[in-house]
Amino acid sequence: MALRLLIVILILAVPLELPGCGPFLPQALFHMPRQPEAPADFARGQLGILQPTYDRVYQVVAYRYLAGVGLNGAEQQAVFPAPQPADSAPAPAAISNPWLLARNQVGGIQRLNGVDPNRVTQRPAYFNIYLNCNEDAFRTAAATLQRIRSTGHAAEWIAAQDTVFADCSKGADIPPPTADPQLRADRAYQIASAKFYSEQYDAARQDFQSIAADSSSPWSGVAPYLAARCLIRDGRFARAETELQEIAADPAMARWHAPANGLLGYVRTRLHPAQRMHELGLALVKPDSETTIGQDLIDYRVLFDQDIKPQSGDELTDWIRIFQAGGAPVASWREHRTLPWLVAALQAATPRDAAVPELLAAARAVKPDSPGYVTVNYRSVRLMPPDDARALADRLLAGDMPASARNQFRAERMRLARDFDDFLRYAPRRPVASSTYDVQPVDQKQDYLDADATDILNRDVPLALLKQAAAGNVLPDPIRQELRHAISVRELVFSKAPDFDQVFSLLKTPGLRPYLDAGYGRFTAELDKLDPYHDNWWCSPNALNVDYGNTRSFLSSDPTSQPFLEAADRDQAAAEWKKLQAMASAPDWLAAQALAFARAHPQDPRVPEALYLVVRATRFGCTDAHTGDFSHRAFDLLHQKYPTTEWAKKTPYWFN
Amino acid sequence: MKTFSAILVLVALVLLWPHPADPLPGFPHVFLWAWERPENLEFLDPHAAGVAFLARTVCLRGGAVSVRPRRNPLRYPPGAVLMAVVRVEPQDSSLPPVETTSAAIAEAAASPGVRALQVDFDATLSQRPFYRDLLADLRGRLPRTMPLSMTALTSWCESDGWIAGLPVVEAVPMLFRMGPGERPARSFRPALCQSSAGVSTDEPLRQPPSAARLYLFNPRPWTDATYRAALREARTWH
Repeated sequence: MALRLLIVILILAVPLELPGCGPFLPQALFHMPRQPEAPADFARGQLGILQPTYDRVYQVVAYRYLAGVGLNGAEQQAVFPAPQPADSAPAPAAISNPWLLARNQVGGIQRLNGVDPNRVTQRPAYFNIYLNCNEDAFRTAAATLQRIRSTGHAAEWIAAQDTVFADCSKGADIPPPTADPQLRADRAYQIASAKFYSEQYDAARQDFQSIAADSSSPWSGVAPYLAARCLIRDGRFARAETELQEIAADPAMARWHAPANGLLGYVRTRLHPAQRMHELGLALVKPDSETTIGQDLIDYRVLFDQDIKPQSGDELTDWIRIFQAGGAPVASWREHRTLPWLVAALQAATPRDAAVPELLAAARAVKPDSPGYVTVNYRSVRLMPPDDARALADRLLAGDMPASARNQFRAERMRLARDFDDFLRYAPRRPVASSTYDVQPVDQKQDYLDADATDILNRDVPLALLKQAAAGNVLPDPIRQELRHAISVRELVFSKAPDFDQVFSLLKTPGLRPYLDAGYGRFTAELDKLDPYHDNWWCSPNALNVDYGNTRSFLSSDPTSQPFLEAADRDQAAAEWKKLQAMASAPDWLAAQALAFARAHPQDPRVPEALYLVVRATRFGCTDAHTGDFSHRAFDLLHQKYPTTEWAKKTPYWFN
Repeated sequence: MKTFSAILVLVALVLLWPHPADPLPGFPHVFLWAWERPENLEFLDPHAAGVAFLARTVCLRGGAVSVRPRRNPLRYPPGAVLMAVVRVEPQDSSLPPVETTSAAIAEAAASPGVRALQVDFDATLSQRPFYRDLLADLRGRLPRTMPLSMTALTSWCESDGWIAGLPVVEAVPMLFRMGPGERPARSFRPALCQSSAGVSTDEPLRQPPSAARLYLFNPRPWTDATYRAALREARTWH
C-alpha cells in the first residue's frame, strides 16, 4: 500500500506533458540580443537602441536609416516579407501547389495529390537533396494549362507535364515528341524541361537554344534565360555569366532583365566574391532598390559570412564590421562626421576619453525625429556625469520608445539611482520576449525584475531595507509579495533559534527561498508544489546539482558597493550576505532543524510528518555531500520511533 | 573451503554471465551525427566512424504529414557506414495516421547507401502510444536486414520503462542539453539503452554508464580537430 502511495505521489509530482528535448523553461528577455522585438517597426525606422549583436540584415537597415536613405514601403516588404504561416507544414489535406490545383480541375484526369519538388543527388560519397522544381515552375505550368485547355489537347499535354514534374524528385523520363502541330512547340518545351529536371543539362541547354531560335514558339523569349540556367545547374558559372550579361544588355529581352540580373548576382557572388561584395556594399545603400534589395541582402550576408574583406569605398561594410567589433575610434567620427559613425564612436567611447565632450555635443545635435536619437542618447547616458545622465535618462523615459529601449534606459537609470526608492522605481521592467526552445516576442502586461536588480536586492541590500521595500508602494504588488516571502525565509535562516512552526511550514512550501528570482522565476508558480525540475527551496553555493542562474549569480559573486546606500547599510548587507553564502542547502538546513526538534520534542504530533517531509526534501531539493546522511537519519528516526504512522508508511526510501 | 567455493561460483558467474550482443554488428563504434548544415566528413576513417545524418524532418500538424528534406550537402569518405536520421516534430496535438507518418520516415531509408535508420522523436507522455505504433509500423516497412535505431531522452532510460519492448535495436540516450538539476545517469536499466549513448562536443562530455557505441553531436560543422578532440576525451573514460 505504501509503495502504491509513493508511486501515486511520484506520478503526481511530474507534469503530464514535458516539453520534448530539453526542458526549455521560459525565460524573460528584457531586450532581444539578435533582433529588435518589432522588426516591422524597425523596418520603418524605429530603431530603438541599436545593438551591435543584431543580425546583419538589421545592421544594413539601421545604416540606411542612420545615413538618411531609409527604406520605402516596397523595400520594407522586400527585406522583411510578410511572415509565413507558423510552419511550412501544409494545412491538413489541403493542396497548395498551383499546378495541382489547376490540373485536378480538368475533367477526366486522375487526381494527383502531390509533387515532390526535391531531388536527391546520387554521387559516390556525397549526399544532397535540393529543391529541383520551384514555385515558378508550378505557376507557369498552371498558367499554360489555361491556354492549352482552349485547344482541346489538355489531356495529352497534362500527361506529358506529369512526366516532366515526376522528374523533379527522381528518374529521367522524357515525354515523347508529338506529331500534333498545335502541341509541337509546347511539347518541345516540355521535353527540354524534363531533361533539365532530370539533370541532363547539356541536352536541355541544346533544346532551349533550339526553342530560342524558333520564333513561332511561345517559349522562345524565355529560352535563352533557361539555357543560361542549365549552365548554372551544371556549375559552368563563367559561361553563364557571359550569357546572362548578354540577356541583361539586350533591349529586346527587357521582360527577362530582372530575373537575369538576379541570377547574375548569384553567379558573380561565386565567381568574383570580393568584387561582388563591393558592388553589394554600394548597391545596398541606394534608394529605391525594391527590385534588387531582397536578393542583394542574401548575397551580401553570404559573402559577409565568408569573411570577404571590404574594398575601399564600401562604407556600409566598414561600418558594420567596426560597429559589431565594439565601435569606432573617435578618429572615424572626425573623418566622416555622419550619424552612423557617431553611433559607432559613442559605442566605443568610455567616460574617461578626452573626446567625450565632442561626442556628447554631436549627440545633443541629433534631433528627436532622427532614427538614431534613442541610440545616441542611450550611449550618451553612459558617458555623462551622474546628474546630467539622470536628467537625460528621465527626459528620454518621458517620451516614446520601443519597450526594449525603455528597459535598457530604466536599467541605466537604476544604476544611477540617488537613493533606495529611486533604485526601486527603476528596477521593474517589462519582458519583450520569452526564450524557450527559441526566442519569441511577447506582449507581456506585467513587470518583472531583471538579473541586475535581483542581484543587488539579494546581495547588496540589508534585510531592514528589504522590509521597507516590501512595505512600501514603489514596487508592483507581485514583486512585493515575492519579496515578503524571501524576507520571511531569510529571517528564519538568520535566526539563532528558528521557530519550528515556521520550519514545519517551510518544509511544506518548496517554492520559498531567501532571495528573489529574476525574470519569470520558478517554473512551478505554486509555492506549495514541488517543481519537477528540482527548483525547490534553495541551494548552497557548493550544492551538487545547483544549476539555477539566480542562485549562482548572487551567491557566487562578491557584494558590490551601491552608491545609493548608506555605509552602514552596505556593511550590514555584507554581513548578511556572508551568512547567506555560508548557509547549507535547504534540505540539509531543514533536516538539521527537524531532527533537533524531534530529539527535543519526540512527542510533538508534527514530528513524524516533519521527518517525512525532510526525506521528501532530500529527494526533490538541492543536494550536497551531507544530504544523503540527513535523509538517512530522518528515515531511521521516522521508522524507529514512529513506525505505525501514516508518515512512516509514506516513506519507504531515503535518498542519497 | 566455503570461501573458496563462493569465489569459484562468483568467477563462474562473471565468466558465464551473458554479455549483451552488439545490436549493430559490423557497424563502427562511433557515429557522428551530421545535422542540418553543410558537412564535409571526408576526414573520417570509414572503419572507425560512421555517419548518422539528418536525412529529413517529418512535421506533424493538423493531422497531416509534411516532409522537410535535408537542405545541406553531406560529403563522407567512400565506404562510410551511413545511418539516415529522421527527426519527427509534432507541431500541434493532432497526430496524423501512423501509416502516413511511417511511410514518410521509411522513405529516408531508401536513400542511396543508407544501412540503418534512426528516429529522433522526443515524444511526450501522450504521444507515446502513437510512437510505439509508429515504430511497429515502420519496422514492418523496412527491409528485414536494416537496423532501426531511436534516440532517447535520458529519463526514458532511467526511471521510465516505457521503451522496453519497442521494435528497435537500440535507444540512444542523449546525455546533453539536459535540464537544470539533472545529474548524469548512474545506470540505464532498459537493455535497449545500454549499448550506445549520445554526447555533444559543446558540453563537458558526460561519461555514459555503459555504452559500446558512441554518437557524437557537434553544434557546428564537424572538423577533423573537433572529431579528434571528442575521441581523445572519450578515451579517458576507459
